Amino acid sequence: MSDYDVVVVGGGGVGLSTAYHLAKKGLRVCILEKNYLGSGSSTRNAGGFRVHFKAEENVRYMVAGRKKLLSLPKETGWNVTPITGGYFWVLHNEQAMQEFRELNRMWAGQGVPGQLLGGKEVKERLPTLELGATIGGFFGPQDGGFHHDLVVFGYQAALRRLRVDVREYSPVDGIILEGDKVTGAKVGSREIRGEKLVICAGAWTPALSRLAGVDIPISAERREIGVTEPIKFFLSPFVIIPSEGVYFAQGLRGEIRGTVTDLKTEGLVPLVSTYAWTVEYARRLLRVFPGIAGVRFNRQWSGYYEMTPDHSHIMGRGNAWPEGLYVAAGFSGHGMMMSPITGELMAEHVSGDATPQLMLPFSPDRFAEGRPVRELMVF
Amino acid sequence: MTINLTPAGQNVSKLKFLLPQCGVSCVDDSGPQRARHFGHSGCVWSLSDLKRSRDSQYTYYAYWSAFLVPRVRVQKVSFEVESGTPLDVALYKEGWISYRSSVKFGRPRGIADASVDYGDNLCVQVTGEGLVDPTRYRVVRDVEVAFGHRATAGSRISERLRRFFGAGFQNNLLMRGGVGWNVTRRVITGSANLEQISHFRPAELSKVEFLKVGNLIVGGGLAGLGVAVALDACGRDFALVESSGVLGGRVEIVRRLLNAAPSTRAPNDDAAEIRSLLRLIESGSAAFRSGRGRLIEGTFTGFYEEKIGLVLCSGAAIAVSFDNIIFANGSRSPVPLLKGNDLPGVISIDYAARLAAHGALRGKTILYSEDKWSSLVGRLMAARGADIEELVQSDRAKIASILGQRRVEAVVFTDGRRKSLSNFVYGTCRQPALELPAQAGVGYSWVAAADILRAEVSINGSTALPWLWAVGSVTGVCELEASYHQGLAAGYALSQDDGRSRAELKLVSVRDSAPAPTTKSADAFVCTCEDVTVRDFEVAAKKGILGPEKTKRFTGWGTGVCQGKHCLYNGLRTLARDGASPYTQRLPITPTPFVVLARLGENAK
Ligand SMILES: Cc1cc2nc3c(=O)[nH]c(=O)nc-3n(C[C@H](O)[C@H](O)[C@H](O)COP(=O)(O)OP(=O)(O)OC[C@H]3O[C@@H](n4cnc5c(N)ncnc54)[C@H](O)[C@@H]3O)c2cc1C
Repeated sequence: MSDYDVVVVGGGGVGLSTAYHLAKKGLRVCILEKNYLGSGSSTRNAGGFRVHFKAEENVRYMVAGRKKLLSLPKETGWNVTPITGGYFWVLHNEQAMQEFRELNRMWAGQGVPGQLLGGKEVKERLPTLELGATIGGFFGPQDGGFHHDLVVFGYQAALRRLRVDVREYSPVDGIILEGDKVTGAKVGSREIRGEKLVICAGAWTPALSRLAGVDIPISAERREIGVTEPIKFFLSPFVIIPSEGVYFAQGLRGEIRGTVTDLKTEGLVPLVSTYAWTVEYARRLLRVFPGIAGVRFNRQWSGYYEMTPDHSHIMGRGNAWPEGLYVAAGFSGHGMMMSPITGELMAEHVSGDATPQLMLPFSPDRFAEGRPVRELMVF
Repeated sequence: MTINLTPAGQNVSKLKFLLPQCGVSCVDDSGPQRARHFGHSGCVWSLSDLKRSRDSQYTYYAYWSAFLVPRVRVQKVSFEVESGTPLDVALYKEGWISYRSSVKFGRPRGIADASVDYGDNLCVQVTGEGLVDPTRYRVVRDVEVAFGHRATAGSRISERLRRFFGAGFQNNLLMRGGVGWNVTRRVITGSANLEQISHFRPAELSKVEFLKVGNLIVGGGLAGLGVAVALDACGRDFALVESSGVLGGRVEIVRRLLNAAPSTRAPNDDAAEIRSLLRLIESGSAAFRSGRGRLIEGTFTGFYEEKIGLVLCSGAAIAVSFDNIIFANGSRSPVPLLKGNDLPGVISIDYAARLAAHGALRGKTILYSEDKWSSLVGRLMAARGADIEELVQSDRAKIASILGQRRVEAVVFTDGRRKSLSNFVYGTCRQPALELPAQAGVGYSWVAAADILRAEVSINGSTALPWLWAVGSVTGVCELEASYHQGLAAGYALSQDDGRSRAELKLVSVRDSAPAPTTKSADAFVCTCEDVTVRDFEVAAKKGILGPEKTKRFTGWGTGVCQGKHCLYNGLRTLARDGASPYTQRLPITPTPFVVLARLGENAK
């Protein structure tokens, strides 16, 4: 007899949410985290959420995901301090405008509102910025920001209330297989037995799944990001300027947080900061936002994007996998906003009740079966 | 020289709503724009307006802001100071500011000017090079003094809210209804104002420089000088970064006190020791005569993966790439965890010495010292004319709290006795300035039995990484001469002269114990940038939020503009976890204006 119905590996947003929803269903759950909860990407991101994706599957996913995220405070008792200021794309060429026009038709079809704006209007709405020859923009009013730490702390508190066994500083280094069935995980010499095992280990997922002989196509990409000292509140949307390769937003503390979209280092390289990113981000940000000249850059850090071949997450299980093995990982840089809904869907799926419609497109077998999701709106 | 103090917040007689109240301006000049955010036409808000607002996120801002914004009326003020007087000292003398800590990051707290009614939750924020950069005090341009309620004075506000909502209110259920996690704290600690600060274009920052050196020494105290002397003797090239521009570190403070008034005599018992310390600076300074070494006057702001360090100087920024880096950036005094430790007038020995050197340390001063050097400085300050009395060992152990209304008034002992005072000076020297070496990769851990931090470096300063070294009190070695010899040992080891390195090591002893620190009060402030008390740590622990990383994220401890320079020790002491490593240090260690970084970026292209 196993100690647990389900063992969840990885205590980031996704693992925590999965464990929480499983426990809520009355299952005996254990969560194993190699460091402290949230130590992976889940306390290192930009805290943005959006329903605007390029792939319809992701749009549908986040329409539900957004509702789930915004109602999280009711569930966990922790306010995730949402900023409902929208996402604001500032565009500088006709091709980009055309692309957003087309996308907007798709979004409208899904019931997702959006506003296409002319150059003058963009400048009026973002008066503090120096937008040069912008020809227009797109505003997504349903998008916004939140604080990732509060998602993590909220789930931690909820798991505590549900008396879930949360084991921090427990790196899994083995997966126990009996015949073709997964029956638990190993942390050093300790064995944690479970009927099922869900890998939610973000960028570290492939190393874990390989322990069970399964290859999952996720690769790590180090991204850097930083915040300024707090300044008076002036900016409510999350601003993305594709032609400059820069995005930024103002947080609840008054800080401007942001990064460039094209500097990255491949692999599970040390999570430190680079000179190249620092001066390049500053250069670009100052160009579009001259007023920030004297504002002091205060804190910078890095984290991993967990990239998949189609820039969309992988959830569920593969047909040929050992029995009892599941995954929810590879969110390709937009997994924090998706973690509440992902946990709910995974719990449905793993507890054996059903495979929710919403998660079907993201199955691990989609690559072999030639039906990738094709998400291109990743920054 | 005239310093014009131009208050930015003029005549705010009406309670105007300021969003995450970011200090400085009290005039709501962005009304129309903001009104659009909220769908309102005006910019003067009443509580009932706020309640009607549909957007809950802004509601709680508005709510809290309205709650907190005090009424302010400020007169235009200017005064004369002697040319050459450091800005902060001038303001202090005028009674504009009073200090609780040695290093200010443009945010002195507390004011004591009788002519202005600030309410009790205001403080002065001073911008300008005199204070913005903690390590440089020359006034290089006009100074703006702005009134905001950046409320580290907010300790008071927090306290009131806490009384109302209960401890840990930032995270309680009330917040769930839309009032927001930590938002209060964040609202009241907002620091700068975009419109104001965007005028700040350091015209003098026209230069960026790129430099390549074999060895980069950070810190020009005795340890750093030791390294320089050894490297020079072995013919190696090096650069030494020192923020104060004067070599000697702690010894330099002693010298400054002696020089301030030539008639000052060191107390007889100390004379020999002081002479030998001054001789060490002399021989250290000689290391720059051969021309192999370069002295950079600037602040080292951190280490980047490419093995580049950034140095901010007056009017220039230097990106230094190096083969080896040696941290010798010393230690500082964390404030004792006593109730009342946030009161104006509670100041560190470093700052007290600075004031004393300018004859600005006035009134009865009590020195709480845990360290030989601090006691020596205390005696010199007394010789310089300050009314200073050091607490004896038995009183140190029995100290219970610090009392005061607007500023510190007395210290109270556990047996009920009290001593009146005007300044409470602490010389604890317990926090290695580890933010720099730790950020570059030197490990540190908390030793619960001794209440100290231990660095993972070997006795000659080397670490697991061949290019990374740390010497002197940043590693825990605390005797002054010992630091110098450790520096020499490191310098010789770096030059592959193991014989001389070993000889120097014989003179090094590492500190593994320290006097017991004061008692710890739940009301004491651990982190004043973010208004975090010992009680906040307790609340976190009750919620199952344990360990430095999570506690940091929950309370905000160490994430303010001081980047943990003052609170790291106290936070770890509060957590009291044997073997705990500090939270990861974040770049830039000294907050750096964007324009500086951008200019480096333009030139890198
Ligand atoms: C700079 C940056 C900006 C971002 N911006 C956004 C954004 O704006 N919006 C958004 O929604 N997302 C954003 N993301 C992405 C988001 O952070 C991630 O997609 C999300 O956190 C993934 O959550 P996770 O739980 O899958 O992974 P993680 O949070 O990485 O959790 C995985 C956990 O597994 C643990 N683990 C690994 N190996 C083992 C083992 N062997 N045993 C036990 N435990 C193990 C790790 O320690 C880690 O805690 C951003 C990411 C970065 C880096």
